[in-house]
Amino acid sequence: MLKALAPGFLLTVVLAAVSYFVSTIHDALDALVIALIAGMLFRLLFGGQSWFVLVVAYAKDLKDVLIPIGVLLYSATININKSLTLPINAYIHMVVSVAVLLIVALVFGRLLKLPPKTNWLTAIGSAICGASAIAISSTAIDAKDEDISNSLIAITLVGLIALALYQVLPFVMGLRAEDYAILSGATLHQTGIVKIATSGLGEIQKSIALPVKVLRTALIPFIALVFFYITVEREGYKKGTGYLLLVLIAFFVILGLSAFLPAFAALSKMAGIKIATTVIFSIAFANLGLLVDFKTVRLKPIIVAFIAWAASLGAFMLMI
Amino acid sequence: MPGRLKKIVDYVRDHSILKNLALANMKLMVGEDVTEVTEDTPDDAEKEKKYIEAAKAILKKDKLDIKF
Repeated sequence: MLKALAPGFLLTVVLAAVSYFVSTIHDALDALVIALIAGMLFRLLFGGQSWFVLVVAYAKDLKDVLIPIGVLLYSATININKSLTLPINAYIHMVVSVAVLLIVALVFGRLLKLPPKTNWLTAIGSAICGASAIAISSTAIDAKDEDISNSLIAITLVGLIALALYQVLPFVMGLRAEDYAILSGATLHQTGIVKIATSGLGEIQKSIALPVKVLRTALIPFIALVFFYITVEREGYKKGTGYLLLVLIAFFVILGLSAFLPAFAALSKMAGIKIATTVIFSIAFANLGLLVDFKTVRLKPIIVAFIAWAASLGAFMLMI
Repeated sequence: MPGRLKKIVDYVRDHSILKNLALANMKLMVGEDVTEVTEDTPDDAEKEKKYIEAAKAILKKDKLDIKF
């Protein structure tokens, strides 16, 4: 079995290490986004090779292990304290954006007759925290590979489109740097993309954009629990999903420790721990990218994710 | 009677921790996608021999207690 494990293990570790080193070249490059896209591209390029079935199988089997570990480690590095000192308008924008992204995606997904779980994951990925939220929730709702592929591609593609438009839109609209930081943190799909979009803002990125995004990230366990409950109500309890509850509880505990225990928060800020966390989470993201099968990709989830993002941008502009 | 091949595939899945990896390994060993084997897949003595050999190698067992 070790022989069968080797291709997937080595590939994800190499992709993660390379992604990490690439991310050190420039502040705007994010290891997780690079690892996710690298995983997707690798499957697109080599998915037809016979040996690649071992890689995809490894990615499927390890998803439920790697992602929770990555998310828990990541939660240890989240500094929720900064998010607790944000100005009140940042909270309002964040709550409105999450609500608009979630509701609009769910409604339009239904109108366009998306499969329910693809619709849920697209909505969750748009509203909360991109790939991590999709990964955790996909286990919670027992999603199929096509649901994960379609939602991941939709939020990654729309996230990159939004990132490109945010290089121009805020200046056209005359947004202040603080408002742009809130807009990015409240409406962009992944922390990495928020980092890239706000890399030119200096201290404002750290004091506003990322803390706003952290608030959305902290919603992962709540949203995963809600959809877990809906799935259990509809389909009954499925054996093997119980451990997810433990992961979600651990997420809450770690968030609490980093917020209220200064020694724990200091530990999680150590450079070595941050690097290890980033590399391990990048392995999880490369693994997630390898699950994306472009053959099953449909246009509708991308349309839904785009409409939801456009609606959240519209809501934001109405409020400022 | 169809279904014997499906029982071998199910046995491998049920007795593996990394289920997808075990079936992917089996796919490479027998040269066909075992996940597409269904209850209605016709029995085939030649294939069954290959499936059992692959199952033994993957599960590292000399004997399989499959109830046909």
